[in-house]
Amino acid sequence: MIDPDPHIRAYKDVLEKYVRLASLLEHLLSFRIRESGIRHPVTARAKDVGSFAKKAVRKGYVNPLEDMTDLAAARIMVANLVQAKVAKQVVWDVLTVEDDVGISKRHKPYEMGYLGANYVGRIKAELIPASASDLVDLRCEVQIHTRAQNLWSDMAHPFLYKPDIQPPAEVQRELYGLSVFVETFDTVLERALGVIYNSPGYQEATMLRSLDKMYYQFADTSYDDQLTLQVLGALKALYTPGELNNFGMLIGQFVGSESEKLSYLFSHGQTDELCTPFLFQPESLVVFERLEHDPDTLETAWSSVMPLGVLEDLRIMWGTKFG
Amino acid sequence: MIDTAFLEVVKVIIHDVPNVRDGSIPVLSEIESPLTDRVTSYFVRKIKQSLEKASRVVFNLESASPVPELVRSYLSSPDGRVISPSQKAARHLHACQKGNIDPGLLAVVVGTVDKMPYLALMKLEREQGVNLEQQEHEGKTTFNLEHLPNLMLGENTKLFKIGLFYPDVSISDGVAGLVCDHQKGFSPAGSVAQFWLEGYLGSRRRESPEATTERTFHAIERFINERVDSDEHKARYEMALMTEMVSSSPQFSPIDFITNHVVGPDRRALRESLKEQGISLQPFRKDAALIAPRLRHIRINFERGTKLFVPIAEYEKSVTLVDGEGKRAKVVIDDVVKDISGKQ
Repeated sequence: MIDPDPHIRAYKDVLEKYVRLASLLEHLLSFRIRESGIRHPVTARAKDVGSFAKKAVRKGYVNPLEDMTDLAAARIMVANLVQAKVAKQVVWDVLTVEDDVGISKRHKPYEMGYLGANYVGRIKAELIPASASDLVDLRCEVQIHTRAQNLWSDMAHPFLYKPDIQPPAEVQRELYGLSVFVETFDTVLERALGVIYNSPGYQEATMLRSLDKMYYQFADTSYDDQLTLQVLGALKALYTPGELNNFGMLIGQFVGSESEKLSYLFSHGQTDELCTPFLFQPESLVVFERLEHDPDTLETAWSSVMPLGVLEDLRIMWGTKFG
Repeated sequence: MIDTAFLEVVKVIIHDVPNVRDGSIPVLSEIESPLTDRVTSYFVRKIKQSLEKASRVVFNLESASPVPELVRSYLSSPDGRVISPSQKAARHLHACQKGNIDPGLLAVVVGTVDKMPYLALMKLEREQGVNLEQQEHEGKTTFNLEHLPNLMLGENTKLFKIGLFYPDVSISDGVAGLVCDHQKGFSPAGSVAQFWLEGYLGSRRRESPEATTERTFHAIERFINERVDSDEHKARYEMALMTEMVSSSPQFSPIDFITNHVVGPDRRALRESLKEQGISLQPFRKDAALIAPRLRHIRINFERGTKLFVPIAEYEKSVTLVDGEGKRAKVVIDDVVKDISGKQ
């Protein structure tokens, strides 16, 4: 049995660092999770002194400051396993991962229990600002849960992991058995999403939903939606998967920052007999966005579905900036 | 910063300017041409298109051309007279159009760009067999521009030289410009193209070609070394950059360099890096005088002290660099060993 007092004092001395570490971890993960199109929160915390002391005694850690990996920990909640894979990449971008514990590593094939993935590591040095250089060598932990996994975990925690009294074996078995349903739920959902996302036209239809709202901010003429879907089928290749997941926000930010220019072009276009009619299609917003941010590959993608002369008209219309 | 998306045309004055060798004199408009919406749109589109590859210029204060003074005078009072200055510009063009310089039409266009007044001088090359109809309007001579948009839609796009000037308080004389010559591009002094920039417009590039070349070269190298992860790509981009710099092409275009030589996410990253470093993406006249010593060899430094110097001409023939595990790279040199000796 360890004497917790010296370890508690030692932890109190460094607690402030772990508070800052948790805050930095949350900031780094939140930004990247949002950019990848996942709209679920990231939460992080430093372990409080009481929890530290109790876990040190319960686990019998000889050196709890070294042995505990979750003194600063974050949780990323996602909707499904598809998003969990994206979140995992985000974690690997932020941390130098030393330990990666998922379901297959935690349980044998015939075992049931806690789901979700845990990653232990240190924040990459190049992501730590100079003012926080004292945090470089500190470990932290990130947990990724789907909502279903979190539902089971929240239920199981007080009854199976930290129970006031141990439930009978058959009750434990039934509660553990519920994790099978959670795993099935997530797996079936992942499969279904895979079919839906890869259905012809799905991504284009999703892009059009965002574009439609913005188009009508500037134009009141109806458009040829079949043409739009055809063009978006080619232009979607100009965006990364993360950008496509976040397309609504991406195009919204562009439209917001260029609203004065877009208003000017659309209003002049209505009375200009030489204006290309293809301005009055929502995909013109995508063309303008790509001309502004990544014009190099636009021509190749465009030419597979539309005449290059139309792209030239839109490019000339968008103009050139001279600093 | 100005954005040509907001360019508007208010007045257009056309003068017919022959070559001096023809023996004929310019036919000068006495009033601006009547503008229809269609013709106005034509000029807006043509100017915006022409300026896509324009270079930034300023007036050469030592130039004998009358253009700088008449532009400054107009911009100081944009609601004032423009016919007389435009005629002066036409007479000056006639005087400049000697030897092989083609005759043409001078269009003097005034309007606003990004809420600022501008004056643009555009030379329209006459297509064979096409004549603009001279007409009387309000008792004064001008030209009918009605069929110009039809020409634009024809097979042969009209080629333009353009100089557009606008107020800029950061310039000593208060005027900045954008100049492009789609016919010839910029080439060594004394050429036809230099007639337009220096001889006619009385302008010079905003920065010397040597300085622009040096700044751009260093900015791209900085990006390659600091922001490109793959050593293979680093070597490829460096080789492409040095090849472009030693090539016989009189121009360097950062946009074309990115399109032709840079791949994947590095394209956008280089574009943004150049913007961050204040490097224009527009093409410019290349002069590698200041960086010549750096264009003889490619040097690759390795972490454990190995240094590799390869003559540019030999790099692609005899050196292969491939990415290895982690941050490692492997270099294979395919050449005959001449000698091996100790060195300090």
